[in-house]
Amino acid sequence: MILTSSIASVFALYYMFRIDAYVIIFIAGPIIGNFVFGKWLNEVKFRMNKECVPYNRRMDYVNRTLYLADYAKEFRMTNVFQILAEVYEEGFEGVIRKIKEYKNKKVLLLLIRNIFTFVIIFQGVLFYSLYRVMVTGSMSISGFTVLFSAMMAVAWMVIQSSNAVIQSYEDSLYIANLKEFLNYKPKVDEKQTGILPKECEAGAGNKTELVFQNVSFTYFGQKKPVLKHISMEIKRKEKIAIVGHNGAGKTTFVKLLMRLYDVSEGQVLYFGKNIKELDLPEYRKLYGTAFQDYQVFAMSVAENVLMRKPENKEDYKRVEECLKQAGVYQKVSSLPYGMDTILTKEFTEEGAVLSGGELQKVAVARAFAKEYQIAIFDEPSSALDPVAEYQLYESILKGCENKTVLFISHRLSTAILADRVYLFENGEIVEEGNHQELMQRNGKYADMFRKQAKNYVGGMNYEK
Amino acid sequence: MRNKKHAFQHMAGLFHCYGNVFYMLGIVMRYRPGYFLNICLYQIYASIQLFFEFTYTLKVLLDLITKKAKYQDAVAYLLLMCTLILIKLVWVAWIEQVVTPKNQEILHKKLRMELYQKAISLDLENYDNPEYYNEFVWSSSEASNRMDKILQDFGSLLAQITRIIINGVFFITLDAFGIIFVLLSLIVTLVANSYIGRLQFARDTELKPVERKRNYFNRIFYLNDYAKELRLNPVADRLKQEFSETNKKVYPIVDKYGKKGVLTGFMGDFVSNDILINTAYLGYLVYQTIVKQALTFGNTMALFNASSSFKNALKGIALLLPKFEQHGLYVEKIRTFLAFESNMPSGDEKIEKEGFKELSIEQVSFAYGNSKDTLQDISMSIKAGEKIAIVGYNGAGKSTLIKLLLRLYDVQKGTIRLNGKDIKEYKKEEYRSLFATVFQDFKIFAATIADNVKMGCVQEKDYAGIEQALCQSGFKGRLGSLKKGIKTSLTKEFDEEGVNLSGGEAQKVAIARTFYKYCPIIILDEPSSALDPVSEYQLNETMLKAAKDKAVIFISHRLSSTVMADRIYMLEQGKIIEVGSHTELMGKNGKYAQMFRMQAEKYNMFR
Repeated sequence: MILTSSIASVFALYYMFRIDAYVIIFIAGPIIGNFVFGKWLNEVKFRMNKECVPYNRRMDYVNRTLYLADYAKEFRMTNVFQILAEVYEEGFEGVIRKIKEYKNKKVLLLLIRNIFTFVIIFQGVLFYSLYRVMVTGSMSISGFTVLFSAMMAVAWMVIQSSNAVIQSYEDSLYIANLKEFLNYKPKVDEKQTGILPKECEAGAGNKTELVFQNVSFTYFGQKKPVLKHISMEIKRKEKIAIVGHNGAGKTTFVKLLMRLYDVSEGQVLYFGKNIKELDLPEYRKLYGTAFQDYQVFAMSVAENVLMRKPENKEDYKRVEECLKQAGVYQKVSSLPYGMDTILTKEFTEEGAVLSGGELQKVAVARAFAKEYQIAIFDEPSSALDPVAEYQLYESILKGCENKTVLFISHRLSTAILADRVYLFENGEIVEEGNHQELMQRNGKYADMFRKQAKNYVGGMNYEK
Repeated sequence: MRNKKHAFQHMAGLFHCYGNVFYMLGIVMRYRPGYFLNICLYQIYASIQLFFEFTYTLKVLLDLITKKAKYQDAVAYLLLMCTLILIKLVWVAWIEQVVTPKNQEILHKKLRMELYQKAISLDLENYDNPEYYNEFVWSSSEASNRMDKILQDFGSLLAQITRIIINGVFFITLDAFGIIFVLLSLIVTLVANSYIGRLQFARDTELKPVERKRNYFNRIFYLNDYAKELRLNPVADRLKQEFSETNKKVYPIVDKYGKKGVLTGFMGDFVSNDILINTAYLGYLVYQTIVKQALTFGNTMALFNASSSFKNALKGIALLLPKFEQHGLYVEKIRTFLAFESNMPSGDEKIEKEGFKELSIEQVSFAYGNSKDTLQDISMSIKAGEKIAIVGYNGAGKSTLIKLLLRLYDVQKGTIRLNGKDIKEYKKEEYRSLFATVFQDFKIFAATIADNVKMGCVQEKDYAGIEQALCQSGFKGRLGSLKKGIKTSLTKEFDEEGVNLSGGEAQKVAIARTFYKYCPIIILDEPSSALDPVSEYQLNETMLKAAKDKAVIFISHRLSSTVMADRIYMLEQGKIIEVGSHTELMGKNGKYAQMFRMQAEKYNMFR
């Protein structure tokens, strides 16, 4: 738009120039108008928009929560809408305040810009050329007419290109945001190359598979560390249970292990090599994971398990095995398209909506599907009924016999199955050992275990 | 005959569409009449002023020059023009930078609040139907943007109409015959544009499902929820693949419609502008001026300019009309949304002063949508102060039963009675206020801890009760570590110093909701699924104490919590298969006993 208007304007101006050379001087008007005042105005606008962002976020948040299905129940059961109405009001008042704050500046700048861009050139040329025609007689009436018409043409083009110039200033300021996003250098570079895990293993000798050496970690923006001086060794094929109260740092520990974050102090070693030196994608491939807050994608069951499109019969066979291991194969085969059924109703009415427990099993099947060495299960049975839970742990133990396994679980019955248990409290390891040792120690773990067991044991002794 | 009926239906449809547009304008006039008037007056003034500035001025100046008038006269006229221009510039600056932004926010708020009230009163089942959800609920979330566009287009319409009137009057006073050229040119343009408009609508309709997919992929890559999965699995590549496949579907659709449009557009333009106006009409004008001496030079130039102006105004209106049609279609959805009536109407009965005595579920069956029954022939009863546990296999229908109890859905067979009366007879809000619930998928809102416990506006006098509720749910320790206590913001949505609680901590806040609310029935759906053993133990102890006089309905897979219940109902595939206290059920040695033993055996063996 700017290009075509500019080219057309140049032609029109050329004809105006042919009629009277001095007319060109008036071009200074729109140029100053756009490039000085127009630019200034845009910077003010951009600043105002930036300051309005927190207020707009509040209004957008309310808009979002009101229409999403996730929040629907809470709105019907409580008065929480009152709170959201207040949040919206905060955002609203903030924006109104900003408008008032900037109004004088914006109006003045726009006015001056428009006077320069429009009035000076058009009315200026008219006053000048009328003088030439009526007083000095140095321009003909036909010349005047052509001048006027050419000016009209330029007028429309200047209006259009001015708008386009304004728009591109606005756009460029937002493009700066985009550039910043694209140029952002992540702390943990997802594509980092480095030593291959296989090589570490080959040259490992006696070294342990995974070692945490005096690791501490604080989340960005927080003052207190979530993990303090964690030291731990995990041998190949060991089954480790990590237990502890809520917020003790268990999930953070796992995130550091997988290098979703980098440690603040200390190091994590894989067969003796600091994991920061390893090829990151290859390192991640070592892990099969099932999280507490797993996500299911609007793709087929098979794709949700493999995390890619199944390509051949072997792929489908693999998915079937994994689903069986997770205990959800029967349910999946009962779906209209079996493993090819799309999950969630995001795109299609025919999408399958599975219950919380069934979805959790699909997420666990995902962990089995990878060619992993180290399996990590973070509360994999929180939504499962007792029978399913029991069967899940049985199949995990069977399927992961030759793998290293880390469990995070509040179900201390799983700690019994582990080779070693670590009890986290307030970011530190306070007790470690296997179940028997910890029970004999009669410390915090023993207390925790007995509290959880109390009703079960009592329940088993119902006859007494 | 059939064509006539078709045409009539089409006309009726059009009327309805424009009716919808006026409906929306009516909302604007209701809330901000001053703003509406301001904009309308400005558009009219601006059109008139533009006419004088470009068309009439030329005539005046050329006439002055031809009559050899004095320079001062021309200057006087020009100064008058400058004044009119300055008025316009000041007015438009004020409207653009102050009036419009402010009024838009106010209008958005008013419209949205109306829509929000409606959204809350929708039946929950509407969210299960994705078509309904996408059509109505989603388009309502875009309603305020639509309103801005309608207002803007209406302003343009006024401007064009004013332009037509003033140029038309100008024509008629000087040379009425010339209008024929203009009208001919217009008809050609209209036909071409109408065809193009229909093409665009068809294209947009075809693109809709593709757009939906694109939006989904967009969302996934930007939301926090999916961040871990995307980094730990190769799913990102798969998603990118899907995204580009989806995009590839867009290109041929746009191409198909694009090609058809180009030729039509060109022909329409060429015939209407180059042939009719620039050649034929110009020739006519020249003839009138030079040969017949019927027009002055000034009048001719002005007429020529006016003809373009007149025609462009007519064209402008023609382009606006299909836009209004589209607006009308969207507003139709919003109106339907606002007119929605619940399928679960409230009754009039008030709850007696004695409050809750008994809740009985009698032979209730229910199925979602078209699927088979989720619940079959369920019968249960709960009296004041009783502790009931509901256990069973995944997908057995436990959560569904809760939703029916809360009247978030209506039963399809059977009845639920409160104190002997069908719950449908009570006012929905009053009935629901008897319950305090913690759902399995509870939500924490971007507000303070206090707000998230009370679930309503918090005042000073509420603080003590809120803190006590948080202690009872086991949150005291964590609360102590927070500088701002219960005034701490949760989530980092608005507050950089906001706190993201861990899964278990959030669950404790949600549980505190039931301790805080004063009501006779508590419903807990998997309340300790994310709690560590000690917290779970403490919760069980507190629940027994704090809920001594209340009826509590527990759904849990942690059978250690259900051991203490007065009565346990076991569900399998939507039916109740076993009922009784823990001791009775263990004695029966049925499925419950088996389930309990599976969970308990290890604890028993290894203590």
